[in-house]
Amino acid sequence: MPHGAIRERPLLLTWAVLMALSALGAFGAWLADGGTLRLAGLGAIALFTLFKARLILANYLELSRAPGWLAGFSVAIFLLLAMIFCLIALVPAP
Amino acid sequence: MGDGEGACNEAVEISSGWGPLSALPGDAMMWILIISELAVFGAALAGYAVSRALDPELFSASQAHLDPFSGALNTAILLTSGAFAAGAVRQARAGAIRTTRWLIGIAFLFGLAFLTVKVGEYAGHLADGYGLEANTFFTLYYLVTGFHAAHVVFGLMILALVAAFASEENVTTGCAFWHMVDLVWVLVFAVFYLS
Repeated sequence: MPHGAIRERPLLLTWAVLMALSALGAFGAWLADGGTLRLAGLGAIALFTLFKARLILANYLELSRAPGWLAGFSVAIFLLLAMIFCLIALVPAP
Repeated sequence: MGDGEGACNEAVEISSGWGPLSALPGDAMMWILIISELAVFGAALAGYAVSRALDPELFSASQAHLDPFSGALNTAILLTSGAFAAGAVRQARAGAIRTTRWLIGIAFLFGLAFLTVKVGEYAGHLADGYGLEANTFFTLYYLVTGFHAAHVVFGLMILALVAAFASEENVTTGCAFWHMVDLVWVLVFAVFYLS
């Protein structure tokens, strides 16, 4: 197991970044609620959610010590979010 | 010296018996559970997206009844709980069992707070007449968030157990389940409340 292959972030910093990403996600939801910026808002929500998932995987679940697994989980979550948010974006808002 | 080396080699052999799963921190069986749970929730969320694409008007109107503040509050609560659980793992690794138990206790209390907010949300929806069978949106909402809440309850039991038997391996394994619950909520929150 390659210890410290990716540098571990201090937990407090990880928590603060997760909170900030949650606030940015809420901003994305506000954008997605409008007309012209809907797609940008949905993209922002998906992107910030992916970042949050990756931070939890890397620093809470300590997959920063297993970079191959971290990449695998990240790709799976990226594909899931891409499928879900593309479906939502393709159907026009009522 | 020779015996010690032999025991060490044996330990390496046992720990590498899981193949690629041996690279993961904690018990490999917990990771099999985590991967399975992520697959189940992923399928449920994908099913929600397909249902929503088939009836966007209904889903949009129903989604407007969810309270984004409660969802955001619960996100903050679980992420904070996860931070304390992650801290507990590091303290357990350092051999500070007393601190480990305190941190798990705080993570546990945040988990209870999550459930309290969730029950309040459900009570509000039910009072407004939006039960499990109100429409497809609410059926999926209750199924996915209810299944997640059941995992929170199970996770709290695991946290209590590993606080009582706070070895490094137990704490790492138990907290891994708790972080999975955290990770799933981040996805559920984005799909049901934000999008």
